[in-house]
Amino acid sequence: MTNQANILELRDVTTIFGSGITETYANKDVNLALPAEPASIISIVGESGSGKTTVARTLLGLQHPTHGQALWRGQELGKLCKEERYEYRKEIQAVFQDPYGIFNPFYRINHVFDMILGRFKLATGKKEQQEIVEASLRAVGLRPAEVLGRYPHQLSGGERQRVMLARAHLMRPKVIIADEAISMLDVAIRATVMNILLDFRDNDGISTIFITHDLSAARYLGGDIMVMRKGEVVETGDVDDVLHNPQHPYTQLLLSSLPNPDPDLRWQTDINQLAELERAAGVSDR
Amino acid sequence: MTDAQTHLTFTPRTSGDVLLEVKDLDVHFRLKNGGLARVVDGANLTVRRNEIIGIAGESGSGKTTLVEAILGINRFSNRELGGQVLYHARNGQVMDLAAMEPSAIRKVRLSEIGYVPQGSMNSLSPTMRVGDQIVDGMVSHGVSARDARKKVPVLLDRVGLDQHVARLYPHELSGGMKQRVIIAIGISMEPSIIIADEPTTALDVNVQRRILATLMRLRDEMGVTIIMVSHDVAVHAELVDRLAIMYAGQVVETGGVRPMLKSPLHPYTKGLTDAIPTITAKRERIEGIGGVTPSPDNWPQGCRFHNRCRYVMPQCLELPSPLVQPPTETVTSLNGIETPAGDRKVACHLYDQSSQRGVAND
Repeated sequence: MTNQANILELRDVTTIFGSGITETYANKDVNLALPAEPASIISIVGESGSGKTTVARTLLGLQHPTHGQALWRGQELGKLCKEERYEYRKEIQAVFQDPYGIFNPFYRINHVFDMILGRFKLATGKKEQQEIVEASLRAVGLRPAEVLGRYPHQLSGGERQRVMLARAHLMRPKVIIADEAISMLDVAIRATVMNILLDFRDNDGISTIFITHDLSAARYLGGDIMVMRKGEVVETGDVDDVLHNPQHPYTQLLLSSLPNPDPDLRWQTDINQLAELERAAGVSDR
Repeated sequence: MTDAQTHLTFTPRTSGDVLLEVKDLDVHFRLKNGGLARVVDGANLTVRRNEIIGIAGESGSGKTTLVEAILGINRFSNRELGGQVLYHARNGQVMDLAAMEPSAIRKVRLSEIGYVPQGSMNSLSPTMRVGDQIVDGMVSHGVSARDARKKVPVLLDRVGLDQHVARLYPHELSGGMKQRVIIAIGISMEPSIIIADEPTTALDVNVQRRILATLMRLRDEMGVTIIMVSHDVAVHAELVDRLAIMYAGQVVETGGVRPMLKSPLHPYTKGLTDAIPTITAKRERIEGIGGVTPSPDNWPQGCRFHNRCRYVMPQCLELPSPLVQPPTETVTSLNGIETPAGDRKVACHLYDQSSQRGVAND
């Protein structure tokens, strides 16, 4: 049975890398459903190696699950025909971690827009093309005159990441999958990037799947949270519920280890309690 | 000695003697095109015995270059060094580290100042057992191999690792364990100061928590002074006693971590504290600091923050703003809190004797 109400869905997705002695479960029975309406944000949180990025790659059709299904509007991602793939790409866009490596240094910034303008025939005529690119750049708080015509090395990391968001916005997608999109940016610019995603949700109806290791970023964006560990989803729900009343020991461990920027709220648990939490969550590091 | 319980309550330790003074330090690099990158430019910093002092700032603000200059490394041929780094040694002698010969400062490193470089957990040799790598540093500083080997279990214990770790190779360790091995090497000669450059970046939060607890324990048990470099203000809020904020190659504000984060004086400090989401505070929209980070070969005239500052006044465009104590006994912070000036220093024209408090022009 297909469920067209969900624009993206994972059903019992298990992804295994290697075989025999090297067999690794990158994802194990992961379920996720992103409704088509209304636009919402789902954060996927976990430590390195927890399988967050495999979830993103599966949703983007870059990784086929060993078992289970990855669905776009009820259709399995691996079985889309050419036209469907084209529509799928229009609706699902990605922003990755590294705003430095993603640009070809030999091309001007315009290149990233020109490519998709041509491929997806987003506008007729040069003038309209220019207009929609400038509108998308303004939507991410960049001044078109300061970005267009420049080379990637002339922009800061935060500006480059915003160019990638503008590129995604240009497609008017339904979903942006942001894989650690703020982790390489300065603290001062992270809030700006997260605000852009919130604006996309509120103004343009764009949902976000936000992959991060930073619980406070997930809390700031709101919506739902999915806590992952060793390829499995250990806890899921509304972000405020999960963070105020964490059920799984691993979520409790993450929360009690999170540094708080308020010096009056220094860690309340001591290191022995932390060790206990680590035991309960099955984390060992000695 | 108990573990981290001892520092659950906030205990500032700022009364210690001066241990290290960075005075008007310049670290400039001559560029191929004839320009000059003033990566650190007139930085001032005082470090007191037995404190943990944090250095925060965005990438490119000169944090790492500053600590590298303290250690006398990063000696590229195009480097131009100015100012002083005065180190008060245990025997009462005062040395200017900035003026020392490479061979002399080599002896100071590790024995007086331990260093945990950025990303160093990935620089352990994959072909040597961890214990041998700890021994290496001590032997090169004149300890006999036999004594050095005896010390390895003690050092591992100090950083919370089991003795058997000495026989392992780096690939058998997790990231957090490797980082603690690096810290064990840093403290092997029992230095007075440890400089830790982003020691928790790229580690998971529970591992970060353990590393910070380890550093805290070293300060409490060994009485070592720690200079902690991190871009993460939340880490500073948990760990350090005093904080120094760097912007554009200069220290723009220093003071106790609590007053600084609770009632910031410099607009950049306020911008930083406002830009961090927390899981405890009410959810409201936060704003990043707008504008573009300036480049070291072309810092803005006057106050270097003026082109991104909400409180900019006419004199900010002309006059540089030196790091000074506010002229009055109490100052009104940018959060509107009346706060004692105490040992705080700020580089901002808002607190000049003559200037009227500017009105935010946004």
